[in-house]
Amino acid sequence: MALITVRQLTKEYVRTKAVQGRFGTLRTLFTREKERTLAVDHIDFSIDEGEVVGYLGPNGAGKSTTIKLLTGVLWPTSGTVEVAGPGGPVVPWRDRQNLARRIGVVFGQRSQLWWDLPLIESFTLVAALYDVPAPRYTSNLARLRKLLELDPFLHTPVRQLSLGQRMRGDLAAALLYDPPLLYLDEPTVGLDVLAKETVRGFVDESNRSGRTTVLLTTHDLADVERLCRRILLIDHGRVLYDGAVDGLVARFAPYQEVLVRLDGDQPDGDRLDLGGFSGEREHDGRWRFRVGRDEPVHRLLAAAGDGWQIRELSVVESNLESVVKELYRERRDG
Amino acid sequence: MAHRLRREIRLYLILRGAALRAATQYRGNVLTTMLAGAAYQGSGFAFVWVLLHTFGTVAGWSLGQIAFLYGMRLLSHALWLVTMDGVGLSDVAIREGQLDRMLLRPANPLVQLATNTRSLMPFGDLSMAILVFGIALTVADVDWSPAAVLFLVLAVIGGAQVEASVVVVIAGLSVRILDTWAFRLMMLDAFDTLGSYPLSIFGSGVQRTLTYVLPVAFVAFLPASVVLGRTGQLAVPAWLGYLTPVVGATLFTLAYLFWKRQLRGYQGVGH
Amino acid sequence: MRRALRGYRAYVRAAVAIRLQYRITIFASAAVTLLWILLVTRVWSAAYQGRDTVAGLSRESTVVYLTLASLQAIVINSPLMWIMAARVRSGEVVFDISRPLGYPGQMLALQAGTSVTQIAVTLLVVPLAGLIGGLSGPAGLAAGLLYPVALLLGWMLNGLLSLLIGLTAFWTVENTGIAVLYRFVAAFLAGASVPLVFFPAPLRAVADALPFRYIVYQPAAIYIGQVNGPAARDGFVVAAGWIVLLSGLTALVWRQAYRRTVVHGG
Repeated sequence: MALITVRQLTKEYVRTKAVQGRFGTLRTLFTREKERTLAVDHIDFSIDEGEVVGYLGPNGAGKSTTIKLLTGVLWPTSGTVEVAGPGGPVVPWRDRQNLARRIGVVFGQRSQLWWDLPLIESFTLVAALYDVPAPRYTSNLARLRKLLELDPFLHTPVRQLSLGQRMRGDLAAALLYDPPLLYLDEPTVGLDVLAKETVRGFVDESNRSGRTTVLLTTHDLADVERLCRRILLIDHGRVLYDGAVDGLVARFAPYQEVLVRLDGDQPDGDRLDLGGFSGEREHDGRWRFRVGRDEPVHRLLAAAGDGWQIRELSVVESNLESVVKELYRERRDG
Repeated sequence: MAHRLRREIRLYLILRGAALRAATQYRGNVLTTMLAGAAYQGSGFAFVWVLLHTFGTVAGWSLGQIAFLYGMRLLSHALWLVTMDGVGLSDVAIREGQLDRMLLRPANPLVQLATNTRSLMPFGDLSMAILVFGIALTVADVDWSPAAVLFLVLAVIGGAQVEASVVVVIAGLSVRILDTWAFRLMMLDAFDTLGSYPLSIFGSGVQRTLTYVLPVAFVAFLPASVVLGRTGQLAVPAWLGYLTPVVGATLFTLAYLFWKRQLRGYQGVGH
Repeated sequence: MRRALRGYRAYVRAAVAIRLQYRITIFASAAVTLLWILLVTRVWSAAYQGRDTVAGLSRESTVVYLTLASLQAIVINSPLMWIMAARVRSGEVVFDISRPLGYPGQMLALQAGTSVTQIAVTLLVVPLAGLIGGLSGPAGLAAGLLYPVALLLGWMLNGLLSLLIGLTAFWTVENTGIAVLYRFVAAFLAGASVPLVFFPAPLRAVADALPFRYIVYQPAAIYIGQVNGPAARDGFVVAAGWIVLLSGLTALVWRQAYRRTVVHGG
């Protein structure tokens, strides 16, 4: 069943052009010149209950705008979003408060915790804001404290927490009221390897046992590989790809790369033909061949018999990272 | 409806309490900040006090009467500051993206904005207000009938609403234009500078402007004139003085609707 | 020495450039000052009401005094203290300290740059201030010549006091309270809204014993001829004494602040 349904969602920013110079602020109030930018351009998608979806795209692609539309912070220019739930579907910007109880939102760059107060106080405040009944608060907090190992710094003022501790606190605050839907915006940015793994493990666990649906934006594709089965790739405000992670790799990187090290004397030049494949010399002396997914790699091995001895051979799977890198590069060049 | 209002009030109190606890974390600053708030408002009164020490009256107002006027305006001022200080910092909250978070929570954004402050200065204003008004009560000759007391209470609340409505309108503007600092400074300063003195020192043109255009006179001057029986010098109809509670409630409602309307056009920061 | 001077000049220029980016702020504070002049001169005129001279001051001289004093008091509201506190809070103060120019000198250069823009704007609004309040020429040639000297001494005093207040940030980090407190207490005791001659005796004694009066009262009173001859000369001597004293105190406090930051690592 679709939890989020997005239809023809469009957001055009219209900004009054700021007037520079003396009394610029006052003059800006009365100016009529407008600047328009289309941040989200008629996108459609839906997300089912229990999914973990990676929402990817280069900077300025329209990711944050989409998230802000989905969470009801912004009003769209046109199109609609519906979030299903008990008591019927909710249009985020029309019924903000109702939606707020169904979603948890974590921004990696910006904490929702009360900066000057001990962490535990943020939890009691969140519980009050979201009307969490006392027994449920107690049991949820106990679970989160254990899962996120919050006890050592539960009574420390938030401003004294490390980034990783703060993020654990933010995750707990976002899930304290059991929202069925969780938005994560760059949840691992700036964290060290261990802290990243804690965050990923926790999100995975919440999704598996808590049936929490997750929409995740990130620049760290390891997050996506670890957590997501599905990817939404957007650019210039449009959906470029919507489907499985494997599918993305198969579609945008239809070959694998084979690295070969030869024995004995090395051939001259930077190119080498071997069994019909053309290879390029790497700086460590190995040769790199691109082999189509349907092409027989063994021809490479067989060809090695005629003159060159292969000492070492490895196959590099195209991963998400290389594919996305390739896509972003195309965008910049195109 | 009543249930929702009760809930918002409860949340308001919880959030205000949290903001206060946060402010008192910086112990060294607590006392000086409150003293600063008191000095800010007190230096204006000290000026009048020294003046009257020499001259006895200003435009026919005695020290007790001016203290009454000054105290009334300070009470209104402190009332909105203590309750809604955060609204005055709206442009910072918007620029730093805090408004985004307020919109993500199941609570009225204005309630959240109002409590979004770390300053204790309003309590300095409040203590100075109580001090000056206390002095006024011992010196000024006021009719203390229950009706007069009730009117006074309503007028102080109305005055607070008049000032608060200006701040809420500016908060609404800062949703669209990010930098409203200078604008707010000028508006609030106009209230601070002109609100606490007998406006009869000005000609009738200025008095009318400060009644009908920028409603400074409604905050304290008009109701205080009524309570003190000094309506003879007014350049505007005396019965306007009784209207402060109505004017305050009306302006605040309009300001709130304006703010809500502006929120729909919120474009976010850093997309 | 020459290189240091060039460094300080760069600092002043940078401060001017920073201030100019916030033009609207400067104009807003000018507008606020004009409003204050309007109020304070009307209140005083209403108080005089028919009387010609009170406490040796005519209504006209008092209005001129108040107009000048309000303009001069602008300098008391300097962003220096806020800038210092913000840089302590963010840790950028470490860069300030590690520069080859002395930290107090840098901050005074910053203050000078701020004042340059403030003075420029003040000069722009002088005609308006005269219209709203009231201005006339100085009381005499001597008054006209001594006025800028008194202003300069007052400016130096205010710079040192602001610097001292700003240095408290090294201990308290948050210094908004004390900065605002300084601004209003200093302005009042300096005579920004009331010429000191009107102060009741005990308050007058307090104001006389403190350095603030040389920032506003002394120059403005010289201008209108209220203070002249030996009284003016004595004033200069005392003001200079205060400058020496406060410079010494600043150096002392700075040494403590430096030790606190560098030795104890903030």
